[in-house]
Amino acid sequence: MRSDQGMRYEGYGDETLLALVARRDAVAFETLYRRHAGLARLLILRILGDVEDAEESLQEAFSRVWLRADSYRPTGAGPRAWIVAIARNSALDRLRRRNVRPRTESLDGAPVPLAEVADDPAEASVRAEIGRRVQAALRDLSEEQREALELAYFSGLTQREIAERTRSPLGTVKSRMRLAMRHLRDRLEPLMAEGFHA
Amino acid sequence: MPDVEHIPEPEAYALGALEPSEMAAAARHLADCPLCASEVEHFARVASLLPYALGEPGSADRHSPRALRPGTRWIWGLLAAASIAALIWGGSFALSGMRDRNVADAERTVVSMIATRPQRELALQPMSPAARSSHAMLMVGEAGGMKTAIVVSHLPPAPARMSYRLWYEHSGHGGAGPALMSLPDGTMVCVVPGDLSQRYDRVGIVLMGDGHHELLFDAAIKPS
Repeated sequence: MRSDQGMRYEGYGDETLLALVARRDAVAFETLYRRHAGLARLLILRILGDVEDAEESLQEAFSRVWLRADSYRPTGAGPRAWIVAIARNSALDRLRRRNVRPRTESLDGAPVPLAEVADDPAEASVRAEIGRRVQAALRDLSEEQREALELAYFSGLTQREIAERTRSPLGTVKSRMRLAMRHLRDRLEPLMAEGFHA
Repeated sequence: MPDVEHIPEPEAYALGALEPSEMAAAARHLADCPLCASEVEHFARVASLLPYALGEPGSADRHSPRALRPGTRWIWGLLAAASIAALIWGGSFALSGMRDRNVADAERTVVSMIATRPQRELALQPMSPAARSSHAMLMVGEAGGMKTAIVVSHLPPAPARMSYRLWYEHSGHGGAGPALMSLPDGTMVCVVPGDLSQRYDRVGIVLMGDGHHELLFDAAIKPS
């Protein structure tokens, strides 16, 4: 249910919305939430693997967005990346605190079992299109490179921990991670240039 | 690890995959090196695209009148708590320090403000045998200069993996809202800014989780 007031911010960019949130504008916050909660929920659920835990973590993440909006700097990686990072940190914090067992499904497009509607249909459509392109870029990686990325990003492991987990030399893990990220950067550069960067 | 001349692994830094001491050294370096900062930001953008590769969740049954759809209304409880806390404490609390304790404090303050001067009170009717030994109230009043509703109940702790949530119905469509928070005195409460009766026909409390739901309390809230 979208509030009438929320409609008036639909055309605003994320940076403007964050600036309004920093001034405690609840309608701007609602708009930002509808725009980004879907992606944040997917990410958090992937990290925690538990629906109830994920909902609590999502709440925690957006409470941080609300409380820390004035610390956002426009010179950074962008508002969406900032929100995604907050969501990821919130979930990883919870994972470490509660030792919730993470899911082990592949990155490669496996659906998550969350019976939840997308918050913003337009945003969900954009998300699906970006998802197809990111999945295509990931398919170019070797299994080992993809595993290194997943363990770092979704499980919050350091390179050293990944080396121990996969029984690979640390230098090999570093190399896999570097090559994987550079490949993704090159493949996704057009996507980011189109303004779809996170 | 000493401060680095340039960050040797911006990709790993963007993923947070360096050792804590390496992350700290890199962070110090980034503060003074726009070149490395730009490189890291670029890889941070790449990293933040990874969640897009996750599949979309299955669609819920949007058309079932009684379908319970976990919604976004809980966020209003948080907003009210944070806004009113900000008013009360003049924004003097440390942003990063306002965690569960202060949110609970703010919720308790809102509940206190409304419960002591309610403009409207409505008892919610038990809808399940599990609710007959408890009671629940909807109260509407002013808090922080804004019309705010609270739902207060005394319920036993929710079973593992389940939670009590606000439940709404509007034009025959139902949805689950924010979770009720447990205050230190055991009261379960949910704070929702605005006049609920303008938006919804009925309000209740539902126990849900693990694929099950049970409507415990329910009441029509449209003024007659």
